[in-house]
Amino acid sequence: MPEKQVILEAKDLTRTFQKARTGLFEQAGTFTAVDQVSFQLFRGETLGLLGESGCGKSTLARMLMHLLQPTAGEIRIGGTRTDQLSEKAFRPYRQRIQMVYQNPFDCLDPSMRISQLLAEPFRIWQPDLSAADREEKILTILQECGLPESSLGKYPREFSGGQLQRLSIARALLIEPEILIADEIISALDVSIQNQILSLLKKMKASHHLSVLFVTHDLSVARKISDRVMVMQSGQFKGIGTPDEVFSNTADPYIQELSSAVFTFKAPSPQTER
Amino acid sequence: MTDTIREPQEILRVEHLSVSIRSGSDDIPVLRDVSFAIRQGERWAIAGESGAGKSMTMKAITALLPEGSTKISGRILFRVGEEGRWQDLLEIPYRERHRFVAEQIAIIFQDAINALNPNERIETQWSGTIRLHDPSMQGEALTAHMLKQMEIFGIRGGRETLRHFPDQLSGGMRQRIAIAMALASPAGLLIADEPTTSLDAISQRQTIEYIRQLLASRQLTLLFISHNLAILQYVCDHLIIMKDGEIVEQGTTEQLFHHGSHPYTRELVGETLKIMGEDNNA
Repeated sequence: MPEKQVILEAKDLTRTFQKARTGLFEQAGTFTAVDQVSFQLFRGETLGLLGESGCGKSTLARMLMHLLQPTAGEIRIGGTRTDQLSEKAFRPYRQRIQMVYQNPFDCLDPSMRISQLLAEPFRIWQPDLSAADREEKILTILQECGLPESSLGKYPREFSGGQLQRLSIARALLIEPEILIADEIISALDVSIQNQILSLLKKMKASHHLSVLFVTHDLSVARKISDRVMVMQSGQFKGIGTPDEVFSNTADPYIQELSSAVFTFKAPSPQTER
Repeated sequence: MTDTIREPQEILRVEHLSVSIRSGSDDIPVLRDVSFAIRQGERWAIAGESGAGKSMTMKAITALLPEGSTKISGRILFRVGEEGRWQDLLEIPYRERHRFVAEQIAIIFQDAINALNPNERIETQWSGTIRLHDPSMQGEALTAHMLKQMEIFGIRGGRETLRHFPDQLSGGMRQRIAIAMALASPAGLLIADEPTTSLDAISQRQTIEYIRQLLASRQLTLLFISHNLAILQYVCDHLIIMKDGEIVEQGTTEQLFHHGSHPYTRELVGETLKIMGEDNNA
């Protein structure tokens, strides 16, 4: 097996926030949302980031995306330290790391047609690209994501949640990033649509050679999609490894508690019955 | 005749319930010909994906649909009084329906942050609910009662928690308080609309275990609305599957999960297995 290449790395990453003052003469306390978290994302893998709401997983994702300055610690993309870069100096990295969010209704401008929404990344990142090339790329990605060409003339409100999430994925992948952060991308969707989006993500990951950080609160989903899973609780790292390793009975007590709290659906057909 | 019935009697009958929303000159149908009957002690679930009509059914039964903008037809029958006669909710004047429903049903909503008043301390709203059903309760006895309930419901913090506002508590705590408040009602029928959807996995498990204990200890009848088949499988014995405002299929949970006859039932079960099944760690 070839040596695993680290594409994204966090070392002792920490972020604290100022809490609101509770009284006129009281000092405001601080709250540590992410507490000395270290991990590596390997090229070509899907790393699940599992944790309950408020555990710091979105704060971590935002720091990796350079949307939030870490209080301490280091971030490296492709070996280069990026956390201290200015926004301008980080710009080249924005093309290498993209993010898809939980609610596609909130992150696609409702006043723009899909054609405009999909052309926007090119306008920002590849302004010299010819209109013909741009159109070809847009049509290709639409097809890959299972959306008809007629989508281009429509507005976000004309689509279902699942279709919009396909569009969000298409939009994030247009500029061919190496790393995709998927932040709870199926949580707002119905179960049948969830499976479709997961399949699409797997397909796109293979065809676009992506490394994926899959942020989720859902243990079953993390287990299903990830090559490795990292678990966080209250801002702290609780464990990382293959799903079998992480959810084994030697895991951290919190992971075991989480693991046993999850409801599993019992297989109904005879061949899968225990 | 009520004292000789052996089989548990029906306590809620929904007959040919249809709801449409008035929109200009048109009526948009959102529920079509929904019928089912629940016997005392049974645990029913309504499952389906978003837009299926689950919450709309719940809102019709609990008289939460606004009168002006919705049109309801059919019958929603509750068994009432000593003699056990049927009372149609829709025959009660609109303004009196809430009072009637409050005596018949304890309701738990999806997110307690919306069910609780953000401007009132927990103590104020909770004691208000208790006194609605038992006006004699007051002063130290009332506080002692709430503290006792908190112990039973695993709500930490004692008197300090009571002095908090809803937004100062965690989601799990809020939901437990909302459940405790709902169960201040002596009603025998508990309707829970996605009660754990906004909770994390550990609070979800605790809340569900808790609801199960309550069902057993207070011999409640349950109507549970959820899109999560794994939870429904764990809690309920009867199941209604809805899609696009209609009942697709109904029966025992066992029967529908194992030999659902409608293609949609089988699809829902299949997709859920893919995501939440026991054997999905391949």
